[in-house]
Amino acid sequence: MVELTLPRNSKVKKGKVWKAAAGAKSVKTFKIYRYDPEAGGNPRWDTYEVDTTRHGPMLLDALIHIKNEIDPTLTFRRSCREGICGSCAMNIDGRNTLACTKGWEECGSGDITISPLPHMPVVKDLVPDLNLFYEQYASIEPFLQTETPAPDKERLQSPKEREKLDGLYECILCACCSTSCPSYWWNQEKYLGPAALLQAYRWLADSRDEATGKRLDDLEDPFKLYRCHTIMNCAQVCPKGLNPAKAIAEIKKMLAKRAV
Amino acid sequence: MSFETDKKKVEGLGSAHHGAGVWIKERVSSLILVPLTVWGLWGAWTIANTGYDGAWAFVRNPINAALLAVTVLVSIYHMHLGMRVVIEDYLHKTLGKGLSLFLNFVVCAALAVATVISILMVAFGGFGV
Repeated sequence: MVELTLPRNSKVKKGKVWKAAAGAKSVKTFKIYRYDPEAGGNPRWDTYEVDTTRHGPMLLDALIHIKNEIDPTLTFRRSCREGICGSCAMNIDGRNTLACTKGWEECGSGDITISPLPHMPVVKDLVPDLNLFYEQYASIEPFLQTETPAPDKERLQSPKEREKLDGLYECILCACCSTSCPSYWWNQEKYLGPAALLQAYRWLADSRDEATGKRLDDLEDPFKLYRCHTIMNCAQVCPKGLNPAKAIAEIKKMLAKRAV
Repeated sequence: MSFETDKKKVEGLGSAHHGAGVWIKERVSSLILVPLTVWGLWGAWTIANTGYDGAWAFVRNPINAALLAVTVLVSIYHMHLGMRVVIEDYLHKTLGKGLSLFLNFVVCAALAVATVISILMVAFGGFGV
């Protein structure tokens, strides 16, 4: 049965409060999820009062400021700081997004809560374990598959055929969509999730790929694909503005077309 | 404790190679229910304030009886498909899931049989005011 409450050792408790330095001009409070499996104990909400005049406009700027100036033990992933790498995906103010493209001023006037991507094992603080997620991506074989011998030059594609990949190839695999999906929460090991399925459709829609039938065979499964109930959280949270639910619907349409 | 790799978990038992058929049945049954539900609402509006006699006369009409039976049967079938999805979503242990799926079938089948018998009894039977 699905667990609707957290196990005892996962309940989040109240943590430390880091007061703003005296003379801080504009103070914003960040409540950040902290968990260190090596230290033992339950996760906790640490509260950081931050002088917003001392960091940049994005949430990632605030996190880096906290790590550099207030608490060096705070752990999070980040790399490109411009919405390309997907490393800083986390749950900010109750919604999965990228810390580098979310302005702290967009979060409203109250405290800002930051926690790791939901329903994933936590490695430390804001770092989720995404190994299963990446394995699901690998399982859809995200590469061009052909039988026809390679031509002397590139494999051709008309502009119209290329257009079909728009809205699909831009995915940065940040996992915001999959970890916002209740179906993925309940059946994570059996349902591929919106990100892997969007990528699966990216190859199904590619005019150059010759493995469409095999790809559809692998996807036709009550759990791998059909756990998508069009909840649409994936499309709501995608920081790149993509629509994985539509891509999944297209796969279902392809399978229906094949069957009827 | 398990040392299964993530690759092993994702591969699982492989693809079941079915699902499209059920998906089509869900959509087709819901599409069929659109006009039937409109008809049902119209029927309810028609017999409102006509009392027991009015309702009796409505079901005794062969076309109404047939449409009522189809509406209820398609609704129950659609409900069966929907409940199956809910059970598969939330119940993960083999025994609990198997038992729930069996109960889902039994309850829906019993409902379908009872409803059709009731409609036939009203339409053709001698039960009256």
